[in-house]
Amino acid sequence: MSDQGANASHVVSPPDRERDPGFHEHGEPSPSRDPLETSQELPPPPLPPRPRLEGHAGSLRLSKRMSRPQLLSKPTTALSLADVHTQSRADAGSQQTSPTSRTVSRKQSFTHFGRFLGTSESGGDDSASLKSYAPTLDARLDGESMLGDVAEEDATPAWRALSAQIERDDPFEGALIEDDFISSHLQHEFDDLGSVQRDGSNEEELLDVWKAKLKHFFILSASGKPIYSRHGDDQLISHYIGVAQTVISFYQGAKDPLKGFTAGDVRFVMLSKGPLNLVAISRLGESESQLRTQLESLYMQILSTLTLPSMEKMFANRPSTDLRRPLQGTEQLLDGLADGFTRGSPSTLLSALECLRLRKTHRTAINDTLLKVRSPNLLYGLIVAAGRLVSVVRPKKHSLHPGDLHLIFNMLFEAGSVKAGGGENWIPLCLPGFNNSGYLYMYVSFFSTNTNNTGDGTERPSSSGKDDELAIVLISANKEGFFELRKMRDDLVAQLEKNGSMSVIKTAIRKGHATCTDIVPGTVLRHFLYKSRGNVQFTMPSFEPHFQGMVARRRLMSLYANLHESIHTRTAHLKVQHCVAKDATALAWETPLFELYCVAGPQVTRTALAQGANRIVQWIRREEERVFIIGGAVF
Amino acid sequence: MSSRKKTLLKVNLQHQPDGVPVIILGDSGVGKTSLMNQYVNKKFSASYKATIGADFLTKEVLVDDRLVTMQLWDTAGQERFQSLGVAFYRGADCCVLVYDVNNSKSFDTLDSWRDEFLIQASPMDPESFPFVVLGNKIDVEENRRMISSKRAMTFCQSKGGIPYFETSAKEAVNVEQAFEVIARNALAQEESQDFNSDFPETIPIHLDSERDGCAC
Repeated sequence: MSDQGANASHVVSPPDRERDPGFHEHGEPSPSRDPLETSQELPPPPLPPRPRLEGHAGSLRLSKRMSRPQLLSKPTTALSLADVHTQSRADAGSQQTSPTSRTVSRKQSFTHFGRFLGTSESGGDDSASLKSYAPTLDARLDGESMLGDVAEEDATPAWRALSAQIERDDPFEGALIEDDFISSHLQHEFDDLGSVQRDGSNEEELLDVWKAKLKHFFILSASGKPIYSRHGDDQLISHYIGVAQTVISFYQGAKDPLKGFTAGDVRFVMLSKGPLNLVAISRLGESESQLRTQLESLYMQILSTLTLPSMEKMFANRPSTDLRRPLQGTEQLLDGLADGFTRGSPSTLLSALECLRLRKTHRTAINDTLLKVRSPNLLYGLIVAAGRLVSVVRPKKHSLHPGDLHLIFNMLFEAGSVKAGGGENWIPLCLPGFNNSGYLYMYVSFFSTNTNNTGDGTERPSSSGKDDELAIVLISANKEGFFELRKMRDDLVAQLEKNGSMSVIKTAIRKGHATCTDIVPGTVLRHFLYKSRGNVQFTMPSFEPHFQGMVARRRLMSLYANLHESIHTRTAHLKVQHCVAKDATALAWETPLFELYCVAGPQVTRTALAQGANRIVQWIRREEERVFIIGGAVF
Repeated sequence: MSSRKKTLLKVNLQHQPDGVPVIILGDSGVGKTSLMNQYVNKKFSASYKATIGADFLTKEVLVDDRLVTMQLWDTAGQERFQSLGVAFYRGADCCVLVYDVNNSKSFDTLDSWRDEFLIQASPMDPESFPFVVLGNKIDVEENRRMISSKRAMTFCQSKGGIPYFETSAKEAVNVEQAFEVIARNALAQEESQDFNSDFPETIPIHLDSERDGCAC
């Protein structure tokens, strides 16, 4: 949350290139240059001894690479998979520097932690839960060190297995092990469950379907009242809500709130926010912090409907308030968010926005038009095409929070309720990232872009798909500003038509995403995500031709999620992560300026992958002002 | 200064046929959006998506050889949006109250929707303000029906003879006819107000405030 807050100030502000020496360093990289060499510039700190790794060294396939001292790659995944994985260890020294105070807290929590030892005998994902039992220790550093201590005292084979597993440094693990299971269930993940019949005759049947869902989200009040569940109606899930409530309140009572645990391949994550408890249950291999981000987003959606003060007031007046009533009608928004997470959303994973690729001069023309027609009560103005930002107009002092924009995009493009009416919309909403205590008013007008008529801004037919939707979103603090903003919309559309920008936008929407080979001819890469940290924006190529369909896309997103996790755990100062599996190879590369995640087919050499990554970075450099909105229209 | 007055006056006159605002109220799920969609777009979707905020549609209608643009405000039925309503309630020329004939609660709340509207909109002559009541979802099988025509008509009579229609947005039954009456009554209301606002004193005040608004 604090991360996002910090990012917010940069949303559409110019990037601070100077911050990143790496950018210049790779300004003119030779094609053969390996991005892994970034670690060369950072003197590798001494490695702590890792005795448990030695036994598995035999399975390393890339052993010839081991001759490069700066890479310090080690095989760590031999326990469960034949896959080989390499990793830069430039950061590993930091583990030695943990302050004594940490050691103390570790010991304290350890007694608590000990209670669970009996149930986690064998490796699997269970180990990852261990660190989360200790609320002060969710960082990877602590988890690892904690287990290290244990391993020394009590070096049973099970513990060794756990210690190795807690590294979680095989990004393919989650994506591949459960593949068949996930593939077969994902097809039915979004099917409606139906409700329990009066006589309860179909309850068991429904419960089986319910249990087969890959992902669940629950929201309940602190007093245990159900507020939201993605799957299943109250009657069906009330027992489970009760169990969740009991477990959560038990730990809250002990002043040691439960943050999460795993059981087999299922991860449970809890988030307590004032009077609400949110629970995520997933089999999709996401990390704890990724699930926590998803819960934060659901919480923001609730605030967006109610505002924080009014929700707190409801619970202060009556702790047993049934929040479903005031939230009535927003289930579709929560469902939209939840399903987006289940399908896998690059935007949520990276906490960043995607923009429509436009020439700089075209974008400038649009920005100028926005400023020209800006109405006095306007706070934010957005032009959004198929979930991608075309342009933004905003006051100098207020940037847009990516989390808020995600809520808006979800409302407009996923939930469908705004389009259902077929007209223009006027929606009160709270943007919690901007200010969680009051409402803003949002004017929304959709256009179809697949018609050839450019003369008037007629409303699109409601049957058209979301990929060709263009929306104009104007946000004001003035409750009565509908007609004022409507006029601004009319002026804006008229101007955009006149100066040709509208057809430029429509052409860009129709063109869609470029494929990897369009961007870098002949590349081995099949897909990539590039996040510009300064702009809080990302860009990616088309999912086609390699990742068509929901299952393929979900697998790709799982892979990205694991790569992301491997370079984002709090103590991981990894710069480059390279992964090899039987059906893909991948690379994650992080600098202060950007994060790049690339995926190529199997058997692609690291050199080729690195070359591909460098070509992408070169392309982004060339295209930076096309693929990202830098600054936007500021008044 | 006087020339400016004249041009603005012209603009005002041109704006008159532009706005015949109509607001549609009723509990959530009774079919307000579906009725609008059937009337404006000739479409029906069985999937329910709760309206968020308010949806604004326009439709040009011919009333006695005059082309009138109806501005239809489709509102969300949830309580939390009632504060939003105030902005639209004011200035409405007709208020359409919708209930579901298979849901007695939605019928029982009609009266409070009507009261709410009259309080918020505070029309000059509440007794004669045009309402229209629509009983929707008559396509649903007869044995599930909760509110009889007779009961609904008694209610409408008791409120000063509100026109009543039984509709099906799904099967396009009576939708066109109902909105024709709505348009006609709204236009009549609009014109009665025109007469009242025709005092010359009110125009300069309006103009001055408008100029202030544009000064920035």
